[in-house]
Amino acid sequence: MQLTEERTRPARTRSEGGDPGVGDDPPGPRRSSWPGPGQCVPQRLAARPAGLVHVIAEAKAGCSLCFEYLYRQLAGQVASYLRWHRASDPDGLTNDVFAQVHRSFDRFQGDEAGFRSWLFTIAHHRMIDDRRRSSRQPPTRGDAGVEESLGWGDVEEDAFADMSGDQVRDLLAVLSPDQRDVVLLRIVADLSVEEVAELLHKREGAIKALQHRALASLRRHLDRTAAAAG
Amino acid sequence: MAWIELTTVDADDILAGQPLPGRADLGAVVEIAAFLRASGVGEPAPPMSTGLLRQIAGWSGS
Repeated sequence: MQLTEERTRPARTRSEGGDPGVGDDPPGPRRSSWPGPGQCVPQRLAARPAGLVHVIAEAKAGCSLCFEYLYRQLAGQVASYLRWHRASDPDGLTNDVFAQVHRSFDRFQGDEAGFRSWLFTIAHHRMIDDRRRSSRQPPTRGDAGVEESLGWGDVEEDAFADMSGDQVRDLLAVLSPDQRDVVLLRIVADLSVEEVAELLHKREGAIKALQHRALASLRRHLDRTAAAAG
Repeated sequence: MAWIELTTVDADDILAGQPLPGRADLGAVVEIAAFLRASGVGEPAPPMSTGLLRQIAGWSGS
């Protein structure tokens, strides 16, 4: 589904100002003390030792508040993954990814790690579809604009004061498509070697080799750049 | 293709943005990884589209 409608409501609406769950009756099973006064259902669930697994279960069972919470927790990473891949509309595609998650939730079985892996599998396929569509269209100016969309706080900006999104984007362009996939899935999506191997339909050894070569390529390129700079 | 001496654990550490002791030669690569990781963690969720909001609101459960 290609979403073209105006996005009218910020994703954080319910979480800002506290108490998004109070007064709402989640469509899932009623619990006499749930939510308690002043408590947000998804945040309370997420605070349990198992993390998001309870939120995922409730979202799958039909809790829209939990689904929104999942979106707020994970959509930024999905958008970042798509942006580094130079997707044409990372924010719109992120919405498409979650729309597909919502439609297909019945088919999902697993824990939080499994959900993340499933989520990024969908995102990866959306990215490939987008790339195919883009390759059939005439090139437009620039690309997805990683730089302009990095919504970081001051701490991160200070920590990476000597680095820009454009520089990192140029470095990623040094990598082969396979290497880039692996690096972004390992780092931005925070998936394990095993999960990346399953997602890309490759053996774990192949993923390790790809990430090793990617790191070597990056180092070589950085060394050359430093040498050229004198 | 240049090769570098790295164990799988070393590679994991680099991808996690953690410097390797005694491997200053990989410091810049570690910085890149840390930058990418921070970009993913730090990026706010984009606004939900009206289509997605409508879809969620119409959820009937499984």
